[in-house]
Amino acid sequence: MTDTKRAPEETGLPDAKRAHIDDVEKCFHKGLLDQTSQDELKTQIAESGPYKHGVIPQLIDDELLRSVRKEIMEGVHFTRKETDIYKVFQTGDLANLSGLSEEELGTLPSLFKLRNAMYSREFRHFMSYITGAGHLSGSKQDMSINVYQKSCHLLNHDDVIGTRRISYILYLPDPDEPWNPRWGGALRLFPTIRPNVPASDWTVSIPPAWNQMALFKIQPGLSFHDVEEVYVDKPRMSISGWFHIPDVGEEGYIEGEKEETEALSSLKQLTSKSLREHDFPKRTPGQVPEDEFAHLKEGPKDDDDLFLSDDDVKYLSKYLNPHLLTIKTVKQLNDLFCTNSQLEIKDFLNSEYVGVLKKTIDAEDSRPPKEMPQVSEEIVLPWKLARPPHKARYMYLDGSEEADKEPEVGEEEVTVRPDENGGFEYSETILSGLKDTDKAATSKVSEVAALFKSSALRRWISRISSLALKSENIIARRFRPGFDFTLATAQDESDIALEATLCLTPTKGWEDGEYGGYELCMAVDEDADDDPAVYRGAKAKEAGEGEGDEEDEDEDEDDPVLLTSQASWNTLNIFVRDKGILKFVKYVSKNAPGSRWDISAEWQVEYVGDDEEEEDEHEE
Amino acid sequence: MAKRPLGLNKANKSKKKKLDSAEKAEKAVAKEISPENDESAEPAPALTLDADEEDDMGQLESLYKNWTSSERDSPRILHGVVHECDSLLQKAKGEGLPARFHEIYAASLLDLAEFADKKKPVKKKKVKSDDVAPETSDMFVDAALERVETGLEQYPEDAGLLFVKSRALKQDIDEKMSAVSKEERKETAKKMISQLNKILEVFKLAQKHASTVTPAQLDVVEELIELSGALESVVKQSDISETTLVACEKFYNEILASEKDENTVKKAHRGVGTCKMIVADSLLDLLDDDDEDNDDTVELAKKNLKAAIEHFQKSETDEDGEFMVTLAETMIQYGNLFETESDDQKKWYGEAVKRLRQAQRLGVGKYDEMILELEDD
Repeated sequence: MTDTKRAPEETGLPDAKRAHIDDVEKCFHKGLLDQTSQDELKTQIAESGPYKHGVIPQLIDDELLRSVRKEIMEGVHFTRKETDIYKVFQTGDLANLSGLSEEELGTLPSLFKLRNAMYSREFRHFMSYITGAGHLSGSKQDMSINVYQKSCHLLNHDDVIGTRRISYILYLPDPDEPWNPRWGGALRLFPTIRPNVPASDWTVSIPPAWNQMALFKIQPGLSFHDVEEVYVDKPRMSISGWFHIPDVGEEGYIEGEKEETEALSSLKQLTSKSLREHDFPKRTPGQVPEDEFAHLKEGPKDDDDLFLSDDDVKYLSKYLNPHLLTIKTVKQLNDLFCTNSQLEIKDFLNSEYVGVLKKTIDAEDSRPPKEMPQVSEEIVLPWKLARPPHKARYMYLDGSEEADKEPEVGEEEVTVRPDENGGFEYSETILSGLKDTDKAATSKVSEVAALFKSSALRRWISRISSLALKSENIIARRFRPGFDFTLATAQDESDIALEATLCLTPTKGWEDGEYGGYELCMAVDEDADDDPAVYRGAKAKEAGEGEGDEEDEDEDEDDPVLLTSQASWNTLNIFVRDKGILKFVKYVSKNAPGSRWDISAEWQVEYVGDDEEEEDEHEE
Repeated sequence: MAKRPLGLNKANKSKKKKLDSAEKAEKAVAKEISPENDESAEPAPALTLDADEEDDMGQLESLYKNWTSSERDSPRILHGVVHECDSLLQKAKGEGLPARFHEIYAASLLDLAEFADKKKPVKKKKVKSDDVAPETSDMFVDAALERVETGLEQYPEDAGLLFVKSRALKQDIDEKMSAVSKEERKETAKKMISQLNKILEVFKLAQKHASTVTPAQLDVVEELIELSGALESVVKQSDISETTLVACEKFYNEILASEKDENTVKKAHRGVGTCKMIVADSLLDLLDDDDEDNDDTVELAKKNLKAAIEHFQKSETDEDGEFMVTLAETMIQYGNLFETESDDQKKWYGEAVKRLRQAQRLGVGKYDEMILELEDD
C-alpha cells in the first residue's frame, strides 16, 4: 500500500515512477493518501452502518475539481432519462464516460486527469485498503457524470450488477454555494430485514457537498440505497461509478472470481419465492363465488340485456353516474372496450356522492406535509405500508384489520384464504386510532373500495368488458408526495387479466406529469438492450454506432408506452393486461400538490360465453 | 356473439397494422367518455329559448342569459342577441321599449367590443348604431354609449343603464388610450383623468337607484383603480391614482355599510383590501428609495398591510386559488416588515404558506420553492 512520504532517494523508486506517484498524489486533497488518513477512514468504514460505507469530505485537489466542473458545464451535453426507477440527466452513453465522442474527450483534459487519478494504482490501493474490498481493476474504468435537476431522483436499489466491487459518488455541486440539505439530493442508506429485503425507512442520509465522496463496498443483499429527490432548481452534479474486480492479467486477478461475482448478481435477479414472502400487499386474490362466476360466464342474453337486476341498479345508483347505468351507454362502452381493450371514464361516481367524498379526502390531504406519516411506524391501522422499497412504497387499505406480518426465516408464506379478504368494513376500535380527518377519509375511501367488491359492480364490469370475473384483488392506495411509487412489474399469472384504477386525487396540476403520480403501462421488447422501462428521454445516438443505425431506429421506433393516465379526480381507467406488460405508478414528487389517491382493482378473467368461440375469435 | 377484447399489447399491435394500410391516421389509444356530456359530435351552442314565442323581451332575456351563463369565449351568441335587439327595434319603431332592452343591447355591444379588432390610430369615424355596422372595438363602444344614452333619455334613473354607462365610459378610455399615437399619449391621458371621477359618479348614481349591487357590477370600480394607476404612469403625476383610490375606497365602504348580498360584500372587502395594499406598496417604494430607516413609514405601511389582510381574509373562498396567492403575497410583504425570524414574521409566513399550498392544490401555479424559502429557518 502507499507509504507515508519519504524523500525520493529513500524510496528506491525510479525517478519516473516517483514522479508519477507525485503526480497522482497532487490530484488528490493534500494528505488524503497518507497512512494516517487511510487508517482513520478504514476505522470509520469498519464501524459504519447500516452497512459498510464511508464519506471522504475532501477528495480531490480543489483547483483540479473546479476545472473539471467548468469543463463539464461548458462542454458536456446531457440527456434526460426517465424510467420507473429514476429521473436524471446523463452524459452520452447510459453509464460510461467512454461513451463520449473523440471531440468531447479532447475538450475535457481535467476530467481525463481526474479519471486517470481515480483509477490509478495508488488510488485503487487506497480504496482497497480503507474498504477491505480486495483488489480493484484499473482497466475497467466505469464512471459517468450525472446531473440531478429539480425533481430528479433515483429509487431504491443495491447496485449489485456484474463484477462491481465498490460504488462511489463524487459530488460537484456549486463550490461557492454550500449545498443546503433541505434542497434534497442526499444519498440514503437502508438497513435490511434480511438479505435482499431492504427495510422501508432509511437510517443514514448523506447530503451532497462540494468535493465530497461517498462510497461503499457492494454487498449483495445488503447495500440498498436511493438518491433523494432534488427539490429545488439547483443542479446536483456528481461523478459516480464503480470499481470492478480485476480482469485477466491485472494485479489480484483470481480465476473464476468473475463468474462467481456475476452469479451472485444474476441469482439475486431471480425473483425467488422466499423473497416474495416479504412483499406487501399480498396478491392473493379472493375468489368470486362459483354461482356468480357461472352467471358472468354466461353473459347477457343479447345486446340489449343490461345484465343488472333492479337491486343492482338501485345499489349502483347510490354511487355511479346514472348515465353509466343505461343500456345505451353500457352498449357503447362495451363496443369501445372490445375495440380498444381499454377505456377511460371520467365522472365515474355521481356528483352527489363524489362531492362528499372529495370533501373528506381533501380535508385529510390538505393537512400540512409534516403531519403526513414520515416513517413506517407512523402509519396507523387500518392503513398499511407497501414494501419492500426496492419494489414499491405506498399506503394502502386491503379491507383487513390485521397488520401485515413479516415471516420469520424459514417460515412458510402466509396465504390469505378468500373469505379472509376484508370487506372494508372497519370497526370503530380500529378507526379510533386515526385523527378525525383521516378517519373520515378512510371511511369514505373504504366505502368506494367496498363498491368494487360488490357483486353488482362485478356484473357491470363484466357487461362492459365481455369478461367473466373469476377472482379479485382490490386495494385502496395513497401515494404520498416525496415518498411513494411502484416499480414496473409484469403480469405473468395468465394470458390476460382485467385491471382498473379509479383515480380519486382531489388536487389539480398533474397534467404535465412533472410531479409524477401517473400510472403507466408499457410493452416489453425482450430483444432490446436498453432498460425496458426507459420511456422518456431524447433519442441520443448510442456511442460507437454508425449513422446507419439511426435510420434503422427510426423504422422501428415503436413507442413502448401503451397507456398513461395522469393523477386526476373521479376517473376510471380499465384495460385488459396481457402477459409481459409492465405497469407502474411513477414516484410522486415532494413538490406535488397532494397525494395521489386511488382504488386499484385486478381480476383474473375468462371470456364470456362458450370457450370454443374463443379459438375462432383469436384467429387473424 | 359479442366482440371480445384483446390484451392491450395485442390490440395496439393489431391497430398499428391497420393504421399502416388505412387512409385515416387515428393514433388515439385512450378512448374517453364523460357520461354527463352528450357523446355525439361537437354540437352548436344550444340556444334554449324558455320564453313564450309571443314574448319578445322574454326571448331576448333568455338569449342574453344564454350568453351570460356560457363560457363567453365566442361571439356567436352575442351576435344572436344583437340581431334580436335590431329586430325588436324595427318592430317597435323606437317606441315603448323598456329600459332593460337598452341595457342588454348596450352591454352586448360592449361585450362584442372585446372580440373586435382594435382600431388603428387614424381619424375616428363616429358611428350610429342604426347606421353603419360597427367593425372595430372602438365603434362597438361608441355604439354602446349611444345606446345607453338613448335609454337614459327615457329612463334617467334606471340603475341597470347607469351601471352599463359606467362600464362603457371606462372602456371608452381604454379605447382612446390604445388608439392614440405614442406622441399623443400624454395629452390624451391628461384629458382622460377628468373622466375617472365622472365614471365613479355615474356608478354611485347607479348604486343609489339600485336595490342591490352585484359583484360583477363592482368590477368597474376595480378597473378604475387599475386605470388610474396606468394613467398616472403615463402622465407622471403622482396624485391621480391617490384621488381615485380615496374615492373608490370610500365607495367600497359605503357598499359594505349598505349591501347584504354575501358575494357583493366579499367583493367590496376585496376592493378595500386592494386600496390599502396599493397605499402600502407606495410606502414600501419610499422605503426602498430612502437610504435611512424611517420608522413612521414602516409603521404606516404595516398598518395598511394589516388592514389589507383583514379585508382580504373576509373575502377569501376555498376555490379561488389566484386570490389565495394575492393574499399570500400580502402576508409575505407584511411579514417582511417584522424582525427576521421573529414570532410575528414566522406567523405571517406560515399563513402565507398555507395559502400557497392551497393554491397549488387548486392547480394555480407552482410555489414549492417559495414555500421552501419561507419555511427555511
